[in-house]
Amino acid sequence: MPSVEWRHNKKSLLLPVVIFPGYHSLNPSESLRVDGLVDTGATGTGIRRDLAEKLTLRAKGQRRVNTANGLIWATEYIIRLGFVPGNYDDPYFSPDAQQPYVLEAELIGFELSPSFSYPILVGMDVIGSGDLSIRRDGTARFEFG
Amino acid sequence: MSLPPIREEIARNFDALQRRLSDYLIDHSGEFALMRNGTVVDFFATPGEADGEGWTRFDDGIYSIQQITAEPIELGMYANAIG
Repeated sequence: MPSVEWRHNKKSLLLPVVIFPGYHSLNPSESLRVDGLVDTGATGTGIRRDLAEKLTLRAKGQRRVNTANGLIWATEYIIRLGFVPGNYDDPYFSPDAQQPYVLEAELIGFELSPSFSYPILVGMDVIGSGDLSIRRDGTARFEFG
Repeated sequence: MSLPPIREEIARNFDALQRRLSDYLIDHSGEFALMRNGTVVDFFATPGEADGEGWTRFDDGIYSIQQITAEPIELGMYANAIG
């Protein structure tokens, strides 16, 4: 089973992901490799506005989102999300030289504020599609497929 | 200032969906509605299928996709990520 192995800093869990526009877009082969913040308390996955603009994602809908300031209406985009399998802790591993494993189902990603510290918030819609393990030695593993 | 056509379409469709959401929840909860001009064109199991149909059917790209749910997205401890 393909997997991503990497190190965490015991404060937050940043999962290396690859983001693509949906299949039905003008640029379905465009992609960006970023670190997404894993949030097991989030029911959905978010994408920061500047990343959506870089991928020229087109708004497809909107959704109510519960924030600290109450309910807001966030723009939604259709995205594909993938991973470059391998051990990111291995100095000989080069994710740029590998093909990403793209999850079969397209996702709806809601728009994150430009001030959010991470380009992607990885929610349970993605985490639940694989097996996530976090170990006390500072390593983490996500198996998928 | 007027909204771009797609933003206007999304807002119109969202409002229309909310007005009939309780009806749609009975038979289509969790599905994805392809919408145009404030009307549901069809329901689909996945957002990708809805997008594919919208892409094929509407050359101008003016449509939206809304999940049939009354639940907002919860952000856990990162609830201040937006807004």
